[in-house]
Amino acid sequence: MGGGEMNLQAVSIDGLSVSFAGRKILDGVSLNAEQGELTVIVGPSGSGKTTLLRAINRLNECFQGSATEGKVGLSLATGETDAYSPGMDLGDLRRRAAMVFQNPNPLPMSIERNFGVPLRSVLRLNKEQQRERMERALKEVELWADVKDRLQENALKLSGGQQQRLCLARALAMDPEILLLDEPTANLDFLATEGIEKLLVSLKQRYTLLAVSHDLDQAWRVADRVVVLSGGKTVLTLDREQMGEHAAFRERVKEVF
Amino acid sequence: MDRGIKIVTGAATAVSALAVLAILVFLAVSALPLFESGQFGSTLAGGWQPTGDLPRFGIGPMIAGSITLSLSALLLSFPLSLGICSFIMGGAPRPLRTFVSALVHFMTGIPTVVYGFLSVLLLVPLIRSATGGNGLSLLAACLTLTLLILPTITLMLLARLGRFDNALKLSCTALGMDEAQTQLKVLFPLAKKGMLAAAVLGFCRALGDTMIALMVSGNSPRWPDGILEPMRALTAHIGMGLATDTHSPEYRSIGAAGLVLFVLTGVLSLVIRSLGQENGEERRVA
Amino acid sequence: MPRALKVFGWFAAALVTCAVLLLVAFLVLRGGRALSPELIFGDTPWLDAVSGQKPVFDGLWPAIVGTLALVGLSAVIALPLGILSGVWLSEFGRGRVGRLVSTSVDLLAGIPSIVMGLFGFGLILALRRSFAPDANTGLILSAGCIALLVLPYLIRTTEVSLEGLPETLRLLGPSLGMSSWKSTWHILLPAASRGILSGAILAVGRAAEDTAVILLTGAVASGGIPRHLTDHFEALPYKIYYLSANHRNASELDLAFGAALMLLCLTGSLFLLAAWLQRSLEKRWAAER
Repeated sequence: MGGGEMNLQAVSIDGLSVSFAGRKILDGVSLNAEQGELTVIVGPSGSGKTTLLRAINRLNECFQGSATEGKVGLSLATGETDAYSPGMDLGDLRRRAAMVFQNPNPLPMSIERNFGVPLRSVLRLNKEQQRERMERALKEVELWADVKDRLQENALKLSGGQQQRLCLARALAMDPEILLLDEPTANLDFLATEGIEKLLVSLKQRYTLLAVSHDLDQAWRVADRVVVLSGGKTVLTLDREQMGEHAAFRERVKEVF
Repeated sequence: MDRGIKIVTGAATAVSALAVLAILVFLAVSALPLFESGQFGSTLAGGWQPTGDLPRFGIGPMIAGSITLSLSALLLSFPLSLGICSFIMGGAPRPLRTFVSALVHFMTGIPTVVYGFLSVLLLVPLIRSATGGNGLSLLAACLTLTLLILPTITLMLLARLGRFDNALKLSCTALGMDEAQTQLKVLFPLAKKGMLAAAVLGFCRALGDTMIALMVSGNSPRWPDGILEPMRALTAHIGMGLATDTHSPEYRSIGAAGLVLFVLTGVLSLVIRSLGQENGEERRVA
Repeated sequence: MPRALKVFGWFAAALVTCAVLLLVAFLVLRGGRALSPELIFGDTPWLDAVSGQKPVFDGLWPAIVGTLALVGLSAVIALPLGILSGVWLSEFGRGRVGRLVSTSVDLLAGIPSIVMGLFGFGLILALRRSFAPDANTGLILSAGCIALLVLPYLIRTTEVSLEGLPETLRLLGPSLGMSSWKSTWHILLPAASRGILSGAILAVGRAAEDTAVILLTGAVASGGIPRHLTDHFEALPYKIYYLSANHRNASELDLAFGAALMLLCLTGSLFLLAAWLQRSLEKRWAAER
């Protein structure tokens, strides 16, 4: 981050509370994620990290008994808006704030159709446009070379790391502005994890990234900002400069866990 | 002790498994005279004219009647079942979806004789007054049968579509697709085999039903020639045969009808069995 | 296109709901009017009827007794046969023999009920021409054929209930040193009991409502209470069929309505109960996995 450059707050969450069937998972959470940065959310199991992420693209509402209060401000190309404003088009919201899940979940179809289905139904692109976006996205995640000759093959035949890249590419093909990554490397082996981490660092030039991680070391490696969630509240926020040395960082975070 | 139980359960299984064989044997035996005299083919294809100079006991019209009836019921019922399935899995308010689901489950408990009974009292007079005909007709039987097989098809569709786990639906939602899009573009294409199996199952159920055809189709043994005309199904033909002399050609035609039904439903059952798995699903153990 | 699907879904749900509610309302209203002690016992005092001293002519009592007897008998035949077969399929049924048996059960499931009745009828004919010239259709024959009819339901639900149990439960018995049969009897069957019970209830409902089988194997329009296993008998579904075609006056039609209402209540509640049991079993084990 250079001096003098004013980064916009891409995501600014204020007083967010989410409960499921009466049980409170998030209690008055506040968080700011700046454009062009990678913000990592960490915390003990059950602290509500996934719920926090899903509050941004409103995926919590797919589960029964969910109730959300508070503001999720988004600064998008079209202007400032609240994700929970009454007229919000959910399909559009989820395109702009695209999500990658913990378990790679390609559609059980060909690689080509993994892109074709959402690009056609949500964005109404024709075949040529679909093809162009798919190629661009696959190049962005450095998977194009591996799969360009087997686009008709079932996506489930790819390795775990490749599947996760595919899911990332699929999200990128939708032309989002924000990327929501829910423990993207949790189920990958060591090499694949390294690869994805490098990829994420390169992606943050063009998108705002918000990632959840259970791995403090990973957070220290890649994050521009770390937000610590515990018991449904934000207990600590550290910028890159404040993160300091590895060991000291770990101690500080563990204190508030 | 272990061995004893293996024997006991094995014996029970043997009885169950051999039952099918026994039934086939009896049917074949009762139709045997037809095979012997070479009349089997003409019995299947010929018409039914028991009186007159040249009595013929062909069950051709009944075969055509059964297939016509079952096919038309399927054509009405399958789209409706798919629609209801989409509704139950979709985004309507939960109480409504639960109600419709419970209703479909309840429908499986409505006996076919009750459907037939209500149809005789409500539907047949309606058709009669609307068209001036008898009322007992292919139309009456078809509409009633549609209701009968609807829950069968719907429940099987729900079971098959339900095999795809929630993570798949969630990722589609995260991509911005709504319920109908997810169903239409992802779930339905993935469940093609299941949809076919449900359709075949519905057809099989319609083919095997006796009471509705017996009570409202008119039971006229002629080739089906109009939606408002009466017709006779194979099942009803057998059901009517109680009063016949068991050495007569009429009885043999009933045996032939039973054999035809057995073979038809047998083949269809095997087809359903072979449609057991989709691509991308977990394999069942046995 | 997706919008069309959504609209059609609502339309289909509405259409079918209205149709069913209409039919049921008609039956309940019209049948409810006919409900009274005379409906069941006719002119005979109920105590005499129940104790069997006097016959009932214009009431449903003999049909009720006939249906109960039929269901009871077929349950006695089918339940042990079906459950034991289901156990065998689930425990020992791997491999070629198992697949053959499984196919056989599927074939049995697809056989139309009228064909089952024809089988029973043919059986009697064969007996008459050989060992037992006095053989006739009757209660025990019907019960046997109905047992065959419901056997596949029992076998399948038992098998599926046992297979649906989590792996950890299957491993529990052997890990404690129990023999294969002991762990089945003491651990697996009790755990799957709800599913097996739902299958049994389903079978009972199916047995009560069937008309086509008994049409050919011993049901009659008026034959009083069956006293021997080989007697002819009355049954609710047959009564409905017979009266719908042959009622001579309004009160006979009332009988039919009453019978239809009773039968619907019986089978409707049985099937709902079975479905509820099945769902609660699934929920229980889904949480454990």
